[in-house]
This record gives sequence, structure tokens and C-alpha cells, in this order.
Amino acid sequence: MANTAGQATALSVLSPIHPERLESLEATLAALPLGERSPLARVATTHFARWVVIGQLVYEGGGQKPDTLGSPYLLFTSNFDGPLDEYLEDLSQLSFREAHAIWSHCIGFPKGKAPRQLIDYLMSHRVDTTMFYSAYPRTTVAQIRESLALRRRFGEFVTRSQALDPSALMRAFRSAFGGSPS
Amino acid sequence: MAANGSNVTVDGATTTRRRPRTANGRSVRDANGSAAPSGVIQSAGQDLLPVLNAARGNVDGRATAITVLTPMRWWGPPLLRMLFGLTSLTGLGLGTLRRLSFIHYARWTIIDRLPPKGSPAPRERLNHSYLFFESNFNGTWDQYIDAFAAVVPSRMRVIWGSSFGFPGPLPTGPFKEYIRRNEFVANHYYTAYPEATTTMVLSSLELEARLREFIDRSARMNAGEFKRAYDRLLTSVQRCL
Repeated sequence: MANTAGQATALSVLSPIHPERLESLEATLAALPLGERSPLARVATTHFARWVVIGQLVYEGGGQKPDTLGSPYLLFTSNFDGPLDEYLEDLSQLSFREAHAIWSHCIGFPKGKAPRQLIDYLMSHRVDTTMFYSAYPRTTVAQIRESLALRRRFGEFVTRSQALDPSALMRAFRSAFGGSPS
Repeated sequence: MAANGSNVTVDGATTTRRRPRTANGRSVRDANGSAAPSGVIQSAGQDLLPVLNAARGNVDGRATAITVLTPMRWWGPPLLRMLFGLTSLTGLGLGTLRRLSFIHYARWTIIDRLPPKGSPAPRERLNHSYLFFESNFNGTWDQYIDAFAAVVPSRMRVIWGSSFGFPGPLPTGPFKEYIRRNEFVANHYYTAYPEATTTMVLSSLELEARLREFIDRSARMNAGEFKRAYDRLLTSVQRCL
């Protein structure tokens, strides 16, 4: 098992979908806003996440015995900062409406509307990751965004400060990025 | 499953991507002509459906998602658990992955059994274990597969060698068809920094560290010293900008 890499955690949840509710689930997922308006964006520790409907398993032949699913499955994966319990707590609080609307299409999903029930359901359908890789395992989403913003700001500063004399350059730099002697 | 039948445009390049298709009750045949039961996705040679609506599929900004599920022979799971366990413990092989500098996050998961359906429905039994592979990367699907096949072909043979139907990473034509057959399209995909490539993230982190060090170091410099140190800083971080 390797559900973590540095401070990052991998979560995979595989849950059976009521076959007769498949179309409704696909419509629900298709209606989710994208980008920063995605319900997944509300959990600010999420690097990458996805929902994928697994309609059927592939038959490759060559000695493989076919596996035919009795129902489609919903796969949810997330790559996020920090421990799993904190992430699920955040997901169940901050994106409860959408999460409930999605997983309520799944077999065995509790009828109640308590965030705790959602967490318990996701935990009981979790699949352990065998190998998890991150290019920057020690870096959080917040640090990456801050770092990207600083890179942008510094790039702009370099462009606009090219003609400055040493004194003006030093003043402009310290004004933009700090570092004045205290 | 998302809508079928449109092209994906990433970084200005338009590629048509394909996804597995259910047989919908028809009896289908595999590449060797063996009949597969109805409800099973057909293997090679079938009329694969083109994919996909970029906005609702595997693409968010510069990031692309890959989700692949392949059936494994019996000896695959113990072999891969040993290999991945060794990699996790020692870090051996991670350097090779880092050479594929466009991967943000990736995972391999061996699925031996499906999660419960809840009483009274029985848990579904599988004849085989499945290897689930997920990647979050920047660039196009074709670039990704080409680079994977070119940079780490031997490692790919080890990882997917136990999967039924795996043709080997090279040549890439059959391998791409294999991935397409076994790939699923995301119904919703989110990334926190869609504007950034992996290299941009790593460059930003390096730049930030150097800049913070420079800010501390230059705090008591006079203008002339500052200018010289600043010029040296620019030279050293040029590739990060």
C-alpha cells in the first residue's frame, strides 16, 4: 500500500451504480461547473481529482476469462494535501450537496443526509493505492499557487526594471518583494 | 462516461481520442476470434468510438487525465506489489519517472476485488485482478504515450507485461490502440492550477527559494553591490522564468 507520497495523499473510491440511475448520474456529473467553480475546488487542498464512470470491463482475449460487471461503477480519485480524514471531512462539509447528489446514485448509499454517513460510505468503498507518485510530494496546493504567483510577479518586475539605474532598481525591488534592512 | 464523438484540442493540436465501447448485449469476438459474452467490451478490431468533449472530458487547462484499467494474469499482482513496494521503500525508479517531466501526479492500483454492494446484494466477483493506472500530466495524449514508450520502455514492459493484450510499448501504434481500448474518459476532471505545467510548478518552487534567499542576503547591500548580486541572480534563475 502506498496511499501517501510526502505530505500528499491518494484516494480512490469505487462504488456500484444503480444501473437504472446511470443516465441520471451522468447528467449530474455533466452539469457540474468546471474549473474554479467545480465543487472539488471548494476543498482547497485538492491538486487533481476526477469522477469516472466505469461502464464495463475490457475483454482482451488471449486466455482472459471475461469479467462482466453486474452494474456500472463510479470511480472517484483525488490527489490532495494532508491526511485522508481531514480531506473527507472537508469534502463532506464544503461540497456536501454535490457529493450527496452524485453518490446517492450508488448502491448501498445511506438514505440519511448526514455528512458523517457520506464519509463512512466513501471509507467503506475505498481502494488502496499500490504505488503513488508526485513530482512535488512535499508541496501543497497553497504553496504552489503562491509560488506561481511570485514567479509571474518577478517575471513582470524583470521586464519593467531593465532600464533602471542601481539605486532605482534596489528601491523598486525592495518595494515589490521586501528585504529592506530592518 | 461523457459524450462521444468530438475532438480534443490541447496546446493547439487537435487529436481524436477513442474510448472502449460496451457491446450492449451483442456477442462480440476478441482478436483471436473467441466469442466473448454479451455485456463485455470488445477487444481489438472493433469500431471504436471517437472521444471527446474536451471541456467535460480528460482536459482541464494544460492538464490531461488518463484513466486506464487492464485485466491482469495471475502472476501480475504479486510481481507488481513486490516491485512497487521496493520502489516506495527505496525510491528506486522514481528518478526515471521524474525524467518524464510532464507528470504531476500518477498512481497504480491493483484491484483484486470490488467494494461491497451492501446487504443483501453480494459483492461482485472478478475472474482477474485489474491494474488501474491514473495520470495527471501536461501536453497531449499522443505526446504522453510517445514519451512514456521512448523513455521507460523496459519499465512499462514490467508494469503492464502481465496485463492481457499488452502489445509492448514499441512500436507505439499498437500500444496506443491498446491504451485507447482500455481507457475511460473522466466525467468530471478538476485541477487546482490548470495554467501550470509540471515544469512551471517545479521552476516556480526553485525560483521562490532562490528569490527568498536573495532577499535575505541583499538586505544590507548598497546599490552597487545589489545590482551585481541581482544580475547574478537573474543569470542563475533564467531557466525558471
